[in-house]
Amino acid sequence: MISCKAQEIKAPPKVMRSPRSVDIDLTSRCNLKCLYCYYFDNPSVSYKDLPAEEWLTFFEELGRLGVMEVCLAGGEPFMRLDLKELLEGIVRNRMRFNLLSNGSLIDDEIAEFIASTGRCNYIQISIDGYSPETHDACRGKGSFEKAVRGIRILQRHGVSVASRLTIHHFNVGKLDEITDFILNDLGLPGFGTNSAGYLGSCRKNAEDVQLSVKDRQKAMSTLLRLENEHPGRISAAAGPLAEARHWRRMEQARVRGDSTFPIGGSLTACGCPNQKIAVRSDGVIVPCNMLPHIALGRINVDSLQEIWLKSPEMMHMRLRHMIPLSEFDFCRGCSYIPYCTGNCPGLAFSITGKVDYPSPDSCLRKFLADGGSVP
Amino acid sequence: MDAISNGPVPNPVAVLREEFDDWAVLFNPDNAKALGINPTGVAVWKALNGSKEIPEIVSEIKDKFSNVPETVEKDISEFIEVLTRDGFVGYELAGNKG
Repeated sequence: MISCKAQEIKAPPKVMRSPRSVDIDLTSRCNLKCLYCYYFDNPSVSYKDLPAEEWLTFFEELGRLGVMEVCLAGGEPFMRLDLKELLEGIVRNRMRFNLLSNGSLIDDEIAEFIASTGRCNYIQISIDGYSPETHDACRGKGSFEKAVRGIRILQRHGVSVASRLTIHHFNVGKLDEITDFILNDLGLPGFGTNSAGYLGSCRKNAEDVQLSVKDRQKAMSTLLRLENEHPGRISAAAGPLAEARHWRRMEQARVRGDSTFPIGGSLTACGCPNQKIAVRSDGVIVPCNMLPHIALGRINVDSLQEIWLKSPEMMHMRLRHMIPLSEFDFCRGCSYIPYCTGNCPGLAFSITGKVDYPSPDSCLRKFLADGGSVP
Repeated sequence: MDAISNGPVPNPVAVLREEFDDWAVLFNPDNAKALGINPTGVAVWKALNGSKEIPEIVSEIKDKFSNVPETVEKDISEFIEVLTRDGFVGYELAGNKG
């Protein structure tokens, strides 16, 4: 019966005619050198920028395809001196935008301009601490004051601000204070959480920066409590809070003997390749900015729609969910298989060198074997 | 006060994303509203040009689709009300016509 249900759910997905959203690394430059940055120190990425004209031509293609929004990151997108021109191109082509930033380069002029477009969903500013000591530990001296100033400027101009807290070894003991700072002192409606993942620069700083099993356990229990104290204000798509929620559900299902989760039992991961695609700062189109080594083509040379609909690599990413976890030695005999998604393919590749592999980083069985417990 | 145009006019910034199985999403980037619409809704959207009143649009839909329900005029009126509320369509002031 289990396999029948799984077959029914795991039919190849229908593909939209174009992506709804495109993640764009507008620049490969950044004014900070964060110890856990996923973007830098990736040998498969060519760290160079394109001129504005190339992006503007590409935005016209996105407009013709009916893409609804672009998420602009990098690097630090505010490093681009031509950012206004680029945002005008996005607006002209009937799209909305988000920006992911460290906040340090935001001034009144650009904030006023962004507000005037009426098309900004939000600007996400990274806040890792409630004081210079906690925030700057991984992000560099002076970055806290500048990030807070950037948020204040955006708020003054009525631009929606989101915040991302990346949890690491140096701030895991201060989550109560950081939560209080973001929600009360900064007055933000909520914030997202993640943790330093084994990607990019973090690979060479992993021992210092990444959460140990003990850290992770502490982060999960603290975040579950804080989530309870601040309902609906702390979110997570990955990292300790997401894992705590999912692992609890997995353990409950295992104890009850539930058959399977709808997206469990195979390499389902996030499902992003059905909704969006990404472009590196050098114009190379990739399935996701966590998989920058899979080059699908180049903007303004190759048709984005052709790549979206026909690229074998994109099709493979979409069909990846048909690969059962039971095929992997790593998963063999695991009682959590029916409830597990195999997690992020980007992390799986960074850790194991294979995209079609479960990510050991988010493996509940491994976490328990390493001394952790279900929160 | 100027008179308004005969029929609803589509907002030029609205985006029609035709997805699969002839379903579509209408998206208004100015207010981030998105509306999933079926093939009849797509046909209504494509018929909007400012000069057609609702009875004319209904007639086109009846020509194009089989088994059209008797409530079609009411359904299309309600659909256009939703489109108007969410900024997908408006009515042009006659005085603005070139």
